Amino acid sequence: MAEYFGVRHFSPACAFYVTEFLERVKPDILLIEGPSDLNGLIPSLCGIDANMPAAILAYTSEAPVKTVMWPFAEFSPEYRAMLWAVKRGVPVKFCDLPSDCVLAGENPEKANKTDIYERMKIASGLDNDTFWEYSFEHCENYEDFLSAVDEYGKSLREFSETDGLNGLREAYMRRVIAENEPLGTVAVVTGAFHTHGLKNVPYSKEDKRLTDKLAHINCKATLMPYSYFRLSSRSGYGAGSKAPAYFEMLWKNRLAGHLDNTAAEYLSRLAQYQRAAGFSASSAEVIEALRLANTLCGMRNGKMPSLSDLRDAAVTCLGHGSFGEISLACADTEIGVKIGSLPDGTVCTSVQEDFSRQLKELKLERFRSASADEIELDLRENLRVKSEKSAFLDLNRSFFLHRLLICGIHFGEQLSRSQDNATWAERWRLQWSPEIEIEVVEASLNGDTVEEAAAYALNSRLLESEGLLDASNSLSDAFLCGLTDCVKTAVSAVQRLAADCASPSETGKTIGSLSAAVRFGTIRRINSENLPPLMEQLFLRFCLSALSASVCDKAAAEELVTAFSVVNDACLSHEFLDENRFVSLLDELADSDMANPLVSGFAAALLTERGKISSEKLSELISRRLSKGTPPADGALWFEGLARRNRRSLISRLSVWEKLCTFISELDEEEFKPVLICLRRTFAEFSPSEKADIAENVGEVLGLSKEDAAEFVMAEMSEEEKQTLDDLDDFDFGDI
Amino acid sequence: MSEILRLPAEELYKEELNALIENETNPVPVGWKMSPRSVLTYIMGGKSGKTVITPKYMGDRRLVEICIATLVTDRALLLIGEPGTAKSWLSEHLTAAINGNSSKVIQGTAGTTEEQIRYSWNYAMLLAKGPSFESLVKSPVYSAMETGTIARIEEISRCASEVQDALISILSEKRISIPELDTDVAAKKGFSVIATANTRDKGVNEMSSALKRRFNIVVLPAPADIQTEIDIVRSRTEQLADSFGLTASMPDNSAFERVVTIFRELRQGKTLDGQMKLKPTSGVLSAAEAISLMVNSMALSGSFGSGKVTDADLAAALQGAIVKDDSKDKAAWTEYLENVMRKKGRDYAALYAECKERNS
Repeated sequence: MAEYFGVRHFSPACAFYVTEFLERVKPDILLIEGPSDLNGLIPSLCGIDANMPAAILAYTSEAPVKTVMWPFAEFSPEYRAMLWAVKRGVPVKFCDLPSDCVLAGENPEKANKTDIYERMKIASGLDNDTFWEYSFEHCENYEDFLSAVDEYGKSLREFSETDGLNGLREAYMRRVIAENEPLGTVAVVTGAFHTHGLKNVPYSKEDKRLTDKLAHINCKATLMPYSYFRLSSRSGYGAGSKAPAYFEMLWKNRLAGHLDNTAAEYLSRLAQYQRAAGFSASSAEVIEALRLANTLCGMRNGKMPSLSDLRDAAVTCLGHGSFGEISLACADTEIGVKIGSLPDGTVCTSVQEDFSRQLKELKLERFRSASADEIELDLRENLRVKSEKSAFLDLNRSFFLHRLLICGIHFGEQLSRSQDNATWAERWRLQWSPEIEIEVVEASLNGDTVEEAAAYALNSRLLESEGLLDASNSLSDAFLCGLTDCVKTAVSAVQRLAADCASPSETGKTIGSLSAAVRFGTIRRINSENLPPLMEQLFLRFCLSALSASVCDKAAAEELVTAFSVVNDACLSHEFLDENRFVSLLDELADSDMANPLVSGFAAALLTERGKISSEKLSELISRRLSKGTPPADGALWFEGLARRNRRSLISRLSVWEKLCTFISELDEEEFKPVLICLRRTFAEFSPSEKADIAENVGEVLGLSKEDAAEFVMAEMSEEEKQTLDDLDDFDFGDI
Repeated sequence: MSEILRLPAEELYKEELNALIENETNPVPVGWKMSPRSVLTYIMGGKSGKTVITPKYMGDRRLVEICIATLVTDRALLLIGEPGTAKSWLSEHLTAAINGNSSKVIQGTAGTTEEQIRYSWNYAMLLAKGPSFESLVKSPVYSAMETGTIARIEEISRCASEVQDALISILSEKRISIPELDTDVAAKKGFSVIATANTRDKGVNEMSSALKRRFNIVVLPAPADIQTEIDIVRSRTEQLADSFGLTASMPDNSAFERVVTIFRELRQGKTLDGQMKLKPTSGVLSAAEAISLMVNSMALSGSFGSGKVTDADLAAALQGAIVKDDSKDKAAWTEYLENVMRKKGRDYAALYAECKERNS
């Protein structure tokens, strides 16, 4: 004989009443929806030193890794049922398809029930979660509950067509139930959806035929610690819980016999979190929120406020209308940060497996030792070998090591190379230690393979990144790790942040690093086609904002000059950037008296270098900048900007030096001092041969012979000159 | 057609209100004309007996539920939102449904005084008879307290802070004291206040947290999806064009779609597909602004143009709505034109060319 109990996964009410059900039925055997080949894991899962949340994880032992998971929380009805059986010594078994058959099928985790819920929403006028809470979670009577769940399962079935996978699963479960029935009373705990398919359909030959020829695949299984966060983020799979911490609260309050305390507790916890975070949250507001939640629930005929009532009331009263104000508190109260733990030796996750397999594939196993060894990688295609795998062995190694770093697994450390510019070479130091094993297990909370975990870690870093620089660093990391999808996410993060805040100098630098990625992307064999459009956008933004940003102080001007230089290089190496726009920006800047003189001078230098400025225009600019009307310090700063690039062409223009000579000779003592500083700084960067050429020019202007002039310029400073220069230390230079 | 430029909600929708009251089945709170559920039906639309109730507010049903629940619990309600998100519209219809009277309004301005919130005196009577109830001039809040109904305060953040503070004691004590007559007036059950405030306007006074604590705050968002917004803009434009007697023909659907798309993208600071982040502009690009843009274009082309709204008309109106006095707006608009609109394909090509010409 079989007795059935339909549950909703992660429902505290079901968890509570399943025990009562078992007490009443007193079964000889308990069957639970779960992989029937993994019964061996039940004792460790129900052991005293196992703390929920935990999950059963099955994964294919060969690449590509496919995984399937059965997570449990403290308030999972299945877990409570298992606990009950283990305590009473009643045999307990799983009765669903074996894990290897689930993995052999297509998309094992794709239990897409959303449209059923959509349709049910229309029928009841409530969203599914609220409907569930009102009708079941707040139910306080065993009989009522049982009949309500029965009704729920029936309507779930009405609203959905059973697909092939569900049909197969139910056939299999019927078979297991039929096999066990001769042994005594069987209690069957499955999803409410399946109960009807099991109870009302007899086991038939067709079931046997279907389940005799199941496909199998090589796979392994383990228990693994799980987290509330992961439980909530996986709720889309139909086997998660959107608000595990809230449901735990419901569970505990139900156990304690005062379910109606939950609303007050939820709101008080929010308020407490807010206070701890430094916001004001008064008891009066909590009381008002509770009253509002009760009214809201009354308007929908609920008995107690549901999570959505509570949250909406909290937003209105505690959050002053905006969810943003209490979003962190909500995350803490609804999702929580609980992480489960399992006894030692029971965990062997797919990431560990994946890690070892990759070490073998990439021929890195010999580095799995306590001694630190170095390895040189040449990322270019090795043309002497035949298979593609070995041709790119070093590249794949590099991907792997970079991914480990992102996952927080400190197996390898990248060393700097003497030849920094060689993008095709890397040097690493590898060392193994027991802590690394732990780091690998921790990574399994982020994904099922090293690649997945790295992608997850990188994506969450991208979500948190606040500055453009953070995001573009993550973009480079995505390139280094060979994570194509992350590159896409990173590109949109860069785009988002660039629109928000970025100053032109930041934008410029980002253009530079994108340009590098485009130019060197091929060596890492990553498709970089979505970078050019982003660069175009950033470039346009840079051009539009640079002019107004150039009215700035010295420090900002230096940043801007660097950015200009980077953008200029990018503009020269990528045809898709609109050169004309850039040149007309430079034109405007070079001519602008408002802009910082350094930037303005630098713009003139870039124009000269590109040959986009006529000699007349240049000499006009020089005359104006070095004329009496301009403050001398500004003039000198402008000249410094001009001399940053393309010195040869300056040196060859005699007129430049004539003007400079006139400029300097017309200065009086006080004016000369600040100018001297700028000019010294300017000429310090010239090479000796350039200085000699300048001397020649100056000599010609002043009517001296070349040798005499050179002697002046090259001579050591006399004591007197040094003294004068030292005196300048006390001079207040202001902002130059 | 009525002679009155604009009828109050309770007049305009008299039949719907009567039908709801007649067919009432749920309990009615003290001082209310109908149950909270019927109020919800009146605002969101539906059916009452045989009468079809038109939707007054197109948006999140849940927000309206919160508003009504707030008023049931004797708390005051503060509606916050950007200009043009139907705050006043919603508050008018809520009072029309709950009290059958939306006329107890105080318009908040920089010149609103404390007396306008509490009470003032008829000075002729005051001189003749001295302080007495006869010489007292009641404010809308005062009479709402007396009758147990709801008073509306529009643009509360425009009032000076001391005027706002006058509300604090009224909302917490639920009574007004009249020291001149040595008495006070207590509010009857059903009394409440609905206030509205703008988030983006300039020249407003920050509300004190003491006052904010006395309100349940509901933030009204811009329309959630583009189709709703297009519907709102089109239906309101039709209504207005009709009531102003505009001669120009209604612009076609694609004009509405394009204008609303541009407004939404700039307002949200990202493209509709979420792929690209945009610089927001300083102007308020609300649905109400889009409505007035369309009506203006129609008025212009009807009076001075061909009677059809052309791309050039739209481009000029867009330029005016988006680029206010700020040079930043112009840069943002240029960026939008180059990065987004240029790539939108044929539907936008002509508009893009017109906009570009005007913005250069």
